[in-house]
Amino acid sequence: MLLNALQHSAKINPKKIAIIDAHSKIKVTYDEIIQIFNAGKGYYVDKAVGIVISIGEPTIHDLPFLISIGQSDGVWIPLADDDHIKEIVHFFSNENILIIEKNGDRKYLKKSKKEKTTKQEINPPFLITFSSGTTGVAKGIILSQSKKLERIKQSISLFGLTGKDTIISNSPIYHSMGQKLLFTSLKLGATLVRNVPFSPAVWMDACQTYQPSFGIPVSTQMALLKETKENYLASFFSFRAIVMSSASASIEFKKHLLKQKIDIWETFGCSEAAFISASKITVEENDHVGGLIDDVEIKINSENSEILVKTPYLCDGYFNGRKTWESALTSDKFFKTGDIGEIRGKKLFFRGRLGLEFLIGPYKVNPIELEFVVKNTILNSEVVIVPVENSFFSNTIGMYLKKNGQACNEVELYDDLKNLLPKHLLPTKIKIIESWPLLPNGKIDRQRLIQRMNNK
Amino acid sequence: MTKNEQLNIIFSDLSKELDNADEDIPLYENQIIDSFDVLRLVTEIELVFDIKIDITDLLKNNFSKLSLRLLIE
Repeated sequence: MLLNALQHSAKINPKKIAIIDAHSKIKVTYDEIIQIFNAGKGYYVDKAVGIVISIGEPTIHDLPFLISIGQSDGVWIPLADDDHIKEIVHFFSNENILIIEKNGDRKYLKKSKKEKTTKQEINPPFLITFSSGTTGVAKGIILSQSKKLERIKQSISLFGLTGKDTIISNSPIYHSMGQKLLFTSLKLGATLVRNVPFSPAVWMDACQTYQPSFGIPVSTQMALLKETKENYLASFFSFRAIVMSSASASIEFKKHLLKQKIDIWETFGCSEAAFISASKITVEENDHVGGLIDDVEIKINSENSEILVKTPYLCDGYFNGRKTWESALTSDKFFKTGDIGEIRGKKLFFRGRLGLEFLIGPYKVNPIELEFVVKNTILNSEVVIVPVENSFFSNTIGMYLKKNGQACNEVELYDDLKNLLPKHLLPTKIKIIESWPLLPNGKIDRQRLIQRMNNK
Repeated sequence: MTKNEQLNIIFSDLSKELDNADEDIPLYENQIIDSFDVLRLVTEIELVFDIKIDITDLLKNNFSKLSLRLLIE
C-alpha cells in the first residue's frame, strides 16, 4: 500500500533528486530509488528476510533498501544503537533477520525457531520505532503501512506540501520526525535534504545551496544555530513554511519569519499519535502549541491535566508490550499522551510532562511551567529545572542555565529570583553549563541532568 | 564589607523578624523563620560565602544567628 504509493510517485519524475546528504553532498535520484526498491525486493524475497534492523544513521542509498522490505510485508526497525537488539532478535526468533550495522556491515541471522510465521493480520506491522524515553522508558511504536500512509497524508494536508517543495530534515531516521520527513518527501516526489546529525555549519551551507522551502526544526537545534551563527536568520530566505514541533518559537524568530512572509506553524504531537494540534500563526502570539485539528479529538483529564487524544493517526500499539499499550488508553479509547496541557479557545497550551513533576515538602512542582516563568521574566536564556534530592523536603529546586555568552553571576541571579518566585520554588543549586545533553530526537536529556545535579 | 556585614544583609533581606531576632535565640524552634526560609538562608549563605551547609544538621542543632556567624568564619 505505502510502497506502491511511493513507487508511483518515484516514477513521475525519475531524473529528479530524491535525497541529498548535506554532509557528504551525495545524492540519490528517484530513478535510483526505484532500482534500489527492486533490488531490495529481490534480496528480501530470495533470503526470506522478515525483519531488517538498521543501527544508527543509514546511508541515503540504504534508506530505500530498508523501506523496500515493505514490499514483502516485512518489518523495518531503525535503532539508534544496539540497546534493543537482543530483545528484538529473541522476539522475532521465527523470522530471518538482516542487521545493517552502524558502519554499513550486513549481518544475516537465520531464524532459530522453525515454525512458519503467520502473517494474517489485516494491517501487518511495517515500522517499529523506539521512543527516546523522555521519562526513562523507551517504547517500540508499531506502524502498519496503511497507518504510515495516513500519517503522511496528514502532514501533506496540514502544511499544503507539494512535489515542488524541497524539505530539509535534521532528525535521525531512528526518530519518528526523521521518518515523517523522509516518507512525506518520497510520497510527494519532492527533494529531501538531510542534515543528520544536525550541524549549524551544514545547515547554513545547505540552505544556501539547496534552498529548502520547508522544515520542522527542533527548538534545541534552532537555539544552537542562533548561538553559533550570527547571521542564522538569513538562512531562512528560501523557506515558505517552518513548523515548530512541541515548542513555541521565540519572538525574535517569529518576527523575522513573518516579516519575510514565511508561514510559521506551531504544532504539538507525539510518536504514538502524530500531529494532535497545529495552526499557522499570523501575529506574534504567545505560548500555544497550535490549534485543534478537525479529525483529532483532544480533551484534558480534569484530575491531572493530562492531554488525552482520539485520532485516526494513532499507532498500532507497542512492540512486545500489549499490557503497556492497553494501559496507555482510557476506557473510551483516548490515548494518554503523558503531557500536561490546557485548551483555551481553540488553542492547545503545553504545560509539562507527568513524569517530570516532583514534590517539595507539600508542594507539587511542574518544572516546565517554572522554566517558562523564569525564562520569560528574568532571563533570555535556556533554563532547565530538575529536582535535587533532600532528606527534609523530599526535593528542592535545581536550576541549570545555559551559558549564552553574557557573564552570569549566580548571586545576582538568585537576587532576581527572590523577587520573582515564592520561597519554596527558589533554587538551592544553580549550575551553568556549556551545552545540553541531548536525546536522539534533539530534546534535552532531563534524566541525565537530574543524575548530574544529584551527583549520580 | 566584612562577612558579618554580608550576613546581616541576608538576615534583613529575608525577614524583619529575623533581622530583629536575638543573636542566640533558636530561629527555627521559635518560629521566627519557617522551613522554606531556612532553605533560602542556607542557599544564600552557600552562594555568598561559597561553603556547604547540611540543612538537616542545621535544623537538628537549633541554630541561631550566632551559630550561623560561626559557620561562615
